[in-house]
Amino acid sequence: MAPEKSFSRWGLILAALGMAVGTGNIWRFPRILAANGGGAFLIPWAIFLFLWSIPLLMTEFALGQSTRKGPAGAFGRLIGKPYNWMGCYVGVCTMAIMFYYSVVAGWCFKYFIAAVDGTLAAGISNAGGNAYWNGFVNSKFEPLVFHFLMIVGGIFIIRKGVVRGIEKANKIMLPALLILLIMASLRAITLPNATTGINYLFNPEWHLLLNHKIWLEALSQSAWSTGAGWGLLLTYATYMRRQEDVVLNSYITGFGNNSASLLASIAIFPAVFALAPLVGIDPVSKLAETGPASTGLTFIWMPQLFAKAPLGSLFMALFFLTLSFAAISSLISMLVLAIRMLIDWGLTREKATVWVGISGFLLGIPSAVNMAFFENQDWVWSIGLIISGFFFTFAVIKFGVTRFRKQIIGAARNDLQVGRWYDFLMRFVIPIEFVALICWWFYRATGWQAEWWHPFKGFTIGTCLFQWGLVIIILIIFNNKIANRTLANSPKNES
Amino acid sequence: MKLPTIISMIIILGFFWGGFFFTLLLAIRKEAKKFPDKIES
Repeated sequence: MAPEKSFSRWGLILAALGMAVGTGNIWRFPRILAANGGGAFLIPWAIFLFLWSIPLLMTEFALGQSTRKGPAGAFGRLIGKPYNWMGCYVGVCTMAIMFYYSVVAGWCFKYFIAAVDGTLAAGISNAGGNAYWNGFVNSKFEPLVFHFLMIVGGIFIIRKGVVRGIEKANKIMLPALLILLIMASLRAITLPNATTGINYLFNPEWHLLLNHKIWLEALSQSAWSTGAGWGLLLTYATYMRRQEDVVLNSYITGFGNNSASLLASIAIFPAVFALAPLVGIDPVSKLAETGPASTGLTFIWMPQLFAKAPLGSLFMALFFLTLSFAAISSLISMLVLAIRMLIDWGLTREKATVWVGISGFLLGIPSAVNMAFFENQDWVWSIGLIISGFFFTFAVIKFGVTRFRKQIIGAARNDLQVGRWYDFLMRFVIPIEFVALICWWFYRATGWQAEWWHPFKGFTIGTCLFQWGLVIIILIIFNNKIANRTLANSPKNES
Repeated sequence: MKLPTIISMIIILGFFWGGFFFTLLLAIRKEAKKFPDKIES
């Protein structure tokens, strides 16, 4: 393999956008927006871009660029060996997501193939969206094959070098994603009765802003969708040029991610509002319906709605191709994180790539063949990301917020300067947001299940605490060993 | 389409899409200043 090079500015921006724009923008955002009153939701969602996501994106960029380590070494290098386990937790949490995210990417690709060859439309007209979906996931074999294809595809893209592979892939996938989203939006807004959907999407009902639930949902959506606190940007930043801008690139990533979410909503809302009455369903309830693993809208209702639209098969194929591109570009960033962790552990890039490919496939198998396992992992680790975000904030506070801003962020040749607002957000606002989000989530989760404490049931606080706790205890026990090894190693093929 | 929808649409899309294109253009301009030779070639 050729030695690794650094990202160009545009290569880095494309990589960051590819990481941030994923299935969360296309299926999660419209669902959360619909469940929280439509237009009013956009206001807190816009606010939290600046009060959570952008400061954390900046932190990740600066931390990776300055330490030249993935999550496993970056924390140790910044705030000392005793805290190295925090970075390892961030890495493990994102890798745990990678194992089942590859399965999701496989679903998207399978639906794209089925939309192109006509079996999706035929299956839906014969048995309905629900039966088609259940037939697919219960077959076990098909989800496994598509999971395998996604891992192989991701590894194939980055096999010749992380930077080279990502730059090449994103040069094709991101513009294609943008064009597909624009085409889907144009088709959706030209459907009869599409304006009802646009009204619901953009017309805010101001009184809803008094509801705390909307604010907390907006915070969690912003945290999950931008990829802030996942450790993915930190990993990409280890391949940044030493003097590369940190601040403006964080703004571009944040604005780009939210712009993509809005574009996806313009494709989905008008389509659902225009087509739902044709099959006799309520558009708002179907938009907000989660279904197993939040699949309700995307894999069950959207194909049924497309089937009713003129040129529906084409629209269906476009939609699932868009989803596939979004999923693959995000999956690649997760594979890169895992590879970087192994490189920091001392493996060569070649060996790390092979190991991540094999383990990514094997550890994703339970999620591919068992929906209950998939749902449990989605539940545990997507919430675990909030803790990851908090660990970044803790690291900056421990290092010294003002010192971090001046010495670490300020070390780059930034196009924009970061003011004292960063200090205020990292010191006070983000910790308060973290506490509010975690308390609210605990409060809600205790009401969902009587046995909320149970460690081996699907959607309980108990299973989260058990799995997070297990990972954290293991990482703390082996902290010295991991820290000594990751901090001692300098990647042999770093540019 | 309702008037509040149109106004809110202009504000929201203007803010995010405008913000995205503005920051992107700013990056292009700043990059051209940092590496004038590279851009000219």
